[in-house]
Amino acid sequence: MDYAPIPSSPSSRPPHRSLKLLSFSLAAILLTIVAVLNGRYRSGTSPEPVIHPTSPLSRGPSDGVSEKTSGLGLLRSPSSHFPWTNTMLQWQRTAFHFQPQKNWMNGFLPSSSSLFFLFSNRFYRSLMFCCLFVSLARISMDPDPNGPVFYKGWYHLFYQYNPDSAVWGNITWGHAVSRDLIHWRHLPLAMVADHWYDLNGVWTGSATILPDGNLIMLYTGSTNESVQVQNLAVPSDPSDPLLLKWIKSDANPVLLPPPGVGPKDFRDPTTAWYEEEAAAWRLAIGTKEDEGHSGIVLVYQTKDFLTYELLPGMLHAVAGTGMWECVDFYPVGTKAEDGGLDTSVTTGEKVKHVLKASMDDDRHDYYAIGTYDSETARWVPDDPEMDVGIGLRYDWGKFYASKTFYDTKSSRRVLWGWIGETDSEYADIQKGWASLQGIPRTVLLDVKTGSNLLQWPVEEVKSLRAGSQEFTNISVSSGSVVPLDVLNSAAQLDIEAEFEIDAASLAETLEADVGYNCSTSGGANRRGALGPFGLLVLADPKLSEQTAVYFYIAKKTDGGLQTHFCHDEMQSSCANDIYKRVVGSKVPVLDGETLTVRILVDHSIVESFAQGGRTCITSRVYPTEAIYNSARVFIFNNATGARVTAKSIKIWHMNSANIIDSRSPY
Amino acid sequence: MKSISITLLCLLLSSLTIQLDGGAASIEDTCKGAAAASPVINYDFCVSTFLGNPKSGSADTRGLAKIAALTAINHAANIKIEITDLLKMSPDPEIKSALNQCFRLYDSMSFTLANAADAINAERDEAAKGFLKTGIQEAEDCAAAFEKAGKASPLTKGNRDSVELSTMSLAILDLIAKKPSDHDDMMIRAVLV
Repeated sequence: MDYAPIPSSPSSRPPHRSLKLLSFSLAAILLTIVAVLNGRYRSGTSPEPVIHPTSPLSRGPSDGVSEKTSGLGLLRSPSSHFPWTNTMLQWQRTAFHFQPQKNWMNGFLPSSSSLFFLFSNRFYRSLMFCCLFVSLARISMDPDPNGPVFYKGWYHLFYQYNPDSAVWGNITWGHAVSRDLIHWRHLPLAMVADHWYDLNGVWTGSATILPDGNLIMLYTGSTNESVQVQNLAVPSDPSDPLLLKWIKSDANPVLLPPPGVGPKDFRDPTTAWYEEEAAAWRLAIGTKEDEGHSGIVLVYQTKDFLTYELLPGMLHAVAGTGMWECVDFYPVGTKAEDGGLDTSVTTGEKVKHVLKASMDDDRHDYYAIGTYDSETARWVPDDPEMDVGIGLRYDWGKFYASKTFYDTKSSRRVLWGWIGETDSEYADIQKGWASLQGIPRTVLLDVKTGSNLLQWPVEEVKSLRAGSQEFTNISVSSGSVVPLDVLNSAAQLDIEAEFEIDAASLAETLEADVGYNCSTSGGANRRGALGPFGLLVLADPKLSEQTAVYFYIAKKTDGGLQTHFCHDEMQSSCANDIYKRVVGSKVPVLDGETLTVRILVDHSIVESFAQGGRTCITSRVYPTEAIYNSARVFIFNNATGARVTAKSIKIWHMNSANIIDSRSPY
Repeated sequence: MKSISITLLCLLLSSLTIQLDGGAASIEDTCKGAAAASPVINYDFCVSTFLGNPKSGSADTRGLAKIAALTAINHAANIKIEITDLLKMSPDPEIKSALNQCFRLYDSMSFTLANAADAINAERDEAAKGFLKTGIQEAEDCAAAFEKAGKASPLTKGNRDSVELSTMSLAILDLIAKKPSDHDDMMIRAVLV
């Protein structure tokens, strides 16, 4: 059945240029009125007065243990809302990450006659004024990347999109295209919930490219009775490189939950891979099994994507991990020269397979490296203690529902991840948008360690670099902070830093530091012999706000060293109605390696990649002071017994990659 | 000593994490309890509301209260769009006036309910209940606007659903007050939803 895309905003003739200018200046004047009146009226209707935050912040590196050590407890009781200003909220929007369209502060004045009522009605909302001449664009949020694929010269990204609200709901497939994974154009919605089998949501799915170059999409639909089923969709015009329109198969749903699987536990089909022996395609779907509270993966086999055979047993299972969402399964080469591999590469000793799942219970993405056996359709982890759900995560911060695809243009595997907000629901409604995608990353097996992946921002990110500064051989003595003279605003940066800790310090330190853990060991202010040290980004000149990206070297009882890599968000903002944590993990450092980190700073998101991408962390931060021209970068060394040298710190300013809203892309 | 207690704490936290399935609330039981507490709440509506959100499956009772509030926010956004469409179609100035009042009420409601969701997260249940009651009042004021104008309201079902969703959240918070054992799960869960 043919399917027409729904227009993304009410259409109107674009106004004359001079009228546009007039209306924008009028809107600007009204916005000022808005800002003044907003505070007065809003506190009048809420049962609680707005209080300004008064909690003290630790200052500088010489303080003792920071005020909150638990990674969890701090989230529990923001006393009330921070008085966010529009200036602060608008700054949060990222410049070069994929994020949804936003609107003008959640309001729309439908007709001029209402003006009278706005003045006289005590429920007047000042926001109404600001939108007099601005058309309603929807507020929105966009979790879960869907069906990423490279097709006929374009990178496509679909995503779970609520066109109407900054909270989850009305889920459709948003759609955007790019030539380079960095510069995007929004296209009309690809799919909406318009059949019984996806009436309660067009949920996550994956694309498979067939040998003849054609493309199929399998996605989860939540039916009119909220049963999770799998549906098939294909481009209505395969010759259209922009894949604007999609046809849902008459055979839908093509997969129903099998016996023993709950109707709410059957979602997110993977990209299919081709099995030569069976002369058929296979794909995986995560679910759970209640007895052991195990996350499990089922494998289906098909020749035509219309009828399927459930293979006996499971690809894999891990007890105690709960429901596995957004399962991903793909090969990685074991030689340095391999590069990325097509999903259908299955055989050979030179190939390992990565199994990944999003843990519904703890909202983190885990992966493990192992071996896949085509004959039995089983996968076994190399190290059962680092199995899926209990071992490594793609990212130790805010990162979920991720999915890879094989980029045929550049022969690499690329990873997308959903980065949610860690601020209040109130702020999300206020600013009119929520969530974004992490910077796309290439994924490779780390052939040096063999036991983890390497993730790195795609090369195209470098095209945004504009103007660089390099600082070399800066000695940072114990307990000190060194400001870096970064020209212009430090809200959009690409940083590559290399650190060295002097050998004497490493040898002299006697005390073992066995229990160190980023989340529970006190953050950047808790001083150890050999750490923490690193960089402070989105820091204001007085250091009343700072986001710390750092290493901590712990000495083990056997005399060896264990390096940890962490983000400390606790002082990232004076506001207390947001989530602030210390997060991170161990990072393997091999003999002879210096400590390296790459950091992408883009307003309210900070992404770091340590040791070439062995350990990655994403943080969402919402500073109130360290914004616009007040953001700075510092080096710090909180170690008590070590001198640290920043051998090289390169800092590039990043241009913005504005997303084009395009309904007529030609 | 400190490192041992930290290790023990980590073990405790991780064991709590693994037992999270025990913490996931039953949608059916929760809706039964909510429907019993208020005549406004229909069991089937309650269940289908939660089934429509994939996070419900692993949410504990507090998580369900929050999901109800968030669903009400999404519903408010839908009502605003519906009002926008109705305004384009209706020539009657009295109906237009009532619709505009309703638009402002539902706009305000988005913020009221966002406050509620945040308060639920922060375990400030009394504050949350206050916000939810305000949200209910805002929907009722929309109905009153049409009554005052003496016109039939096109938003009756929308208002009713809004009241029902906010009441669900309220009722579920009351259920939590009666179930102290949920407390440990709340510590972990508050982060995750």
